[in-house]
Amino acid sequence: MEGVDVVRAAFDAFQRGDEPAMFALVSEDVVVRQFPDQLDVRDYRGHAGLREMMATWIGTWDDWSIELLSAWDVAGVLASASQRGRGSGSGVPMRAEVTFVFEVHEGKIRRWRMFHTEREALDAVGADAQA
Amino acid sequence: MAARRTRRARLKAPESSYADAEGNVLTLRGSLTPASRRQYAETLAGNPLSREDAWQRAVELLFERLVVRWEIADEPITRQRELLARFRAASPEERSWARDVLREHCAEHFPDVQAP
Repeated sequence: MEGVDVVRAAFDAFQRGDEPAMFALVSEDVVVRQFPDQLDVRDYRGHAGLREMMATWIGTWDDWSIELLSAWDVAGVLASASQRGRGSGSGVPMRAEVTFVFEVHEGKIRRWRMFHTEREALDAVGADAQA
Repeated sequence: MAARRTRRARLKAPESSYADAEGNVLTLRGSLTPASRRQYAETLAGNPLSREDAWQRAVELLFERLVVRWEIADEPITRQRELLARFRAASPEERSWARDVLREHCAEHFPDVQAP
């Protein structure tokens, strides 16, 4: 399976609530990093780390959902998604776009990074290529 | 003999509110502790590998320490965790406006703090 297909399959599994199928497409030693400009940015490691990160973010919202808008190969898989929900305390609606950069190795996601915009994601991918 | 009760008057820093063109309102406190100022300066000076990330993190720190309320479409957000999450999920336009508000607020209340 190509990297893009792995990412799409992982999103599909998440959407249908099939967590085991999603995690089967994620490496046991995956490294996940949220937005680089976050004050408390850090690496979340392994399946437990990914679960922790997801629970923290998703737990902030009621009726949280995410929809994959596009995914393509560009020195990794760059995927744009739209997320929505309501503040769990206020009920204030939230709708935001997020861009992910995935590294896929041997059919599994092993690095997962998040950016506010596609531009920021492309800059990060460009910086990787120059490093 | 009746027990004497001592009641301490609690001082509350004044708050300032800023509205955007759509009527959404950010309310910021008018005080910043010495510890927060120190942490802000360290964050702003930090990460020599990415000045942009250091600058953005400094903005987030100021947002976290100063914003007490964000009213969006007449619905108020007041919980700290939710305020920060909403900032992280903000559109580029909302983030830009929030940065402008923080700059204006710092210039008005904390002229000694280097605004982001």
